Amino acid sequence: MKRCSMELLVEARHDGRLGERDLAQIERHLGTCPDCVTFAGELERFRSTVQEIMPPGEPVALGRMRGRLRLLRAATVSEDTPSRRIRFGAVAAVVGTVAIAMVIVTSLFVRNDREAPHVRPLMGEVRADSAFTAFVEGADGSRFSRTDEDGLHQVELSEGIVAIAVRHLREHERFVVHTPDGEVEVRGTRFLVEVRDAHMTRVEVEEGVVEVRVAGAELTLRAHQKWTAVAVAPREPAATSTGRGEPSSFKLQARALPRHAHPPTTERSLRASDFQDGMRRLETGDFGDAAGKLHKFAEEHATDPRAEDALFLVAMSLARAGRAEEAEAAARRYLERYPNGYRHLEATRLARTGKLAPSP
Amino acid sequence: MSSSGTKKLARVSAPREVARPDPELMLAIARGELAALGTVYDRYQSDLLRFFHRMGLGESDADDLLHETFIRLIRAARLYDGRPSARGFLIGIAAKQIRSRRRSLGRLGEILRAFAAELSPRLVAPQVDGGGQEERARIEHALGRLTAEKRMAFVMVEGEGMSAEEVASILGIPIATVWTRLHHARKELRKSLARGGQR
Repeated sequence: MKRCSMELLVEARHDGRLGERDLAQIERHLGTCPDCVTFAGELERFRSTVQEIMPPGEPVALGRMRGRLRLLRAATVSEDTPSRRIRFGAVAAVVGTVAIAMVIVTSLFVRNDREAPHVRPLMGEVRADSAFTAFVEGADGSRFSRTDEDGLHQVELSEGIVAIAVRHLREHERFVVHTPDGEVEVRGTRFLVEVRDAHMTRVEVEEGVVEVRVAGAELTLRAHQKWTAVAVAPREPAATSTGRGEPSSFKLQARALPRHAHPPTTERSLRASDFQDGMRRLETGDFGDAAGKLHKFAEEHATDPRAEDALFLVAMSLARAGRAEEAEAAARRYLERYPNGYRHLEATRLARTGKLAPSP
Repeated sequence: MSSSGTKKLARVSAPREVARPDPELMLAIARGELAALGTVYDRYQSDLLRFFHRMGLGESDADDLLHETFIRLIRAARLYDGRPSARGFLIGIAAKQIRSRRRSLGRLGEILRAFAAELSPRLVAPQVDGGGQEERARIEHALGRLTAEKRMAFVMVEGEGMSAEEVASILGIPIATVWTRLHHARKELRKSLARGGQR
């Protein structure tokens, strides 16, 4: 392709790197060189194209709130090691294991005809040395107030999105979130509440117990149960109902959430806990149980990077438990599945003898 | 807050934070104020998501890196140089996150690139209508073929409007290298477009 020798200057002009004299020269040149005009146009199109690349996405406010909650969780939870703990003033002092997310999606955020995006289960354990009952944070523009009176902690939410972390309550304490048409009482849990157009429309319980009171009806939800207002989500299959005088416009339903309803992060953490559980039992010398746990993990998560280790450890645990025949069978399963595995030599010996190599 | 006695915390909201200038917020983050972190998050999360997207990351990767960037900010805030806008500083952290992620996924990336190269152009090129959109799709596709270093320089300068000096400082490279990467990025984009957006 034919290239004009002035192209470098055209590029420098585009980048704003030219002095007055060079700029005047290239402007004159552009008046006479169609190739350079085309090139200058190309450079502009490259710029405008990359500037027009925008992330796809959900309503900004909701996505932002979700991100904030995730950040809040990471900032307040002690994660892998003590060195990674973050001291965050009053929030770092919040105790307990309870988190509530209240999501009010107004017409500003989500169109009525749109299924609300799944909101990830929120904060995990909050660190444990606090005098605070709860930490409350609202999204921009949210309208809410909070009162604490003689053990009764209340949040009055009229519009917007609020995230609340509550520590375990003492016997005489209550924590209640009031929405325009209902209330949610915390009993030590992690859960999510959604409100649309001044109506509570969904409650999902990740852990613990929640009491929902809406439109004159009352329902207790436990872990992995969900309530939805029928008027908003007609496709939800009906399950149980309290049958305590709910009005015709509402039905109280509870159903177990399907496993796949959990976001990937939760799935990962569940997997991690399965594996870790097996490892813990192995460390404490509970070899029979360790074999069972690790076998379950290896079978259910065959594509997990730890599955190979888990399968070998099953054989090893069985051998340590003195169950030689089962250890042999487990070692053979390992060799069949990972013929070139890292533990090939040890597994071969186990498959032959059902015993581990003596320690050096 | 005590469980006994009465304490009212009416209108616990963020408007006061919104007006605080970036340097003040960064100092507050360095002191460990979570509210300041939230305000900076609100202020710049969409800029960072856009940056990640322009760097070719998928939605979930972008979400993860956004999160990691702000977690990193908690520790990095004390290094903030006091410039009026924290945007460049945050993009710098974000760029480091991308590079770190890329290193860990380098091998996988090679496999994916090889796989993508074997796809037919019809499958690879986005299906769009009309000349302008079609060209835009071809440019985006060509952008995806740039090396990460060139793409980063291109996105930072052309997409994010950052100066070469700023980019050089963030990436820890000489300014001339930024211009060189930019030049080669454009050259490759042109080549790629001249071939009809194909390899």
